[in-house]
Amino acid sequence: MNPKANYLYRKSALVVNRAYQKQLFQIHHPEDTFVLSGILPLVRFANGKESTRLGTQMGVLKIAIAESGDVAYTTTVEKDPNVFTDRSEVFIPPYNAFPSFSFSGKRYTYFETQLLITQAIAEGYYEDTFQPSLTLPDTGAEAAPVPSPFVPYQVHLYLRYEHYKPNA
Amino acid sequence: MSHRSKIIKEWIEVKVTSANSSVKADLTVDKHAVRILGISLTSDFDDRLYYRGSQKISINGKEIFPEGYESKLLMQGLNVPVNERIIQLGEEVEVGNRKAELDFKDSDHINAPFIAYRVRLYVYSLLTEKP
Repeated sequence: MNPKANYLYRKSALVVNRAYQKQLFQIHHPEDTFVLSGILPLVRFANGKESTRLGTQMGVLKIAIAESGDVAYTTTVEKDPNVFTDRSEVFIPPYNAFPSFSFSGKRYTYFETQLLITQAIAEGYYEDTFQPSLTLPDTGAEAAPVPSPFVPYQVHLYLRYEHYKPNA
Repeated sequence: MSHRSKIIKEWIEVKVTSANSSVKADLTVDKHAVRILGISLTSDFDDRLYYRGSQKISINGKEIFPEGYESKLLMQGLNVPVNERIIQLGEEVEVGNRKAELDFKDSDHINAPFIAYRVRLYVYSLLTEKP
């Protein structure tokens, strides 16, 4: 990090209303920022009602530099387990009577990068990769499996910038 | 050599007494502070804050965290070392008018039915270094 810089956080939301939706969007960088230093996409369902789908992947996100079109960041957006209790510690082999101990308060971290900002906007692209999970109806063995319905959601894109001090 | 801490810890506290409400509070940072190091966010019901909370935080009139920034991104638990629990704001945040403002919003969530809770925003600043 530049020693004369401060962090500035911004958030934008993409609305995904239908399965396999593809959308282009723009990210307007705040004034006086010179580096995009952190990126964190999170999936949010309205009121916490989550969809049932195969796997945890929700879609693919790409951020490109405008004009040149170079993709500077790409990731698969995963469904956030959204549990307050962080159970990562259960991977430690249990050696006592409390094998499922856990800590509260998972901490989210940004993807660290140093993307120089030379233009006012960046281009973004998001594509939903819905794969329904199939359930067998209990009406008979010959009935076709029922795919799970698509549930609209939002991708909240958190961005961390570095900006200059006013007097630097 | 002085062993006195040179970090000033202050906080703003808001009480959320009704679901889907917004509450505001502000704090005047200590007059001896020369710069602000960082912040942290806690609650008496951490799971409510985790699922339901979002806020805007401004310091010196500058919006550092925008409206709708989820509280869970500013929280940390026992698995985070004590000295890493401050959310740093960069190297040199000017104290300016010394105002730290919290605009907190509660939103319904299926995993956390509403009960009244309080939210604390801690502000850490550096004490004047005397020669």
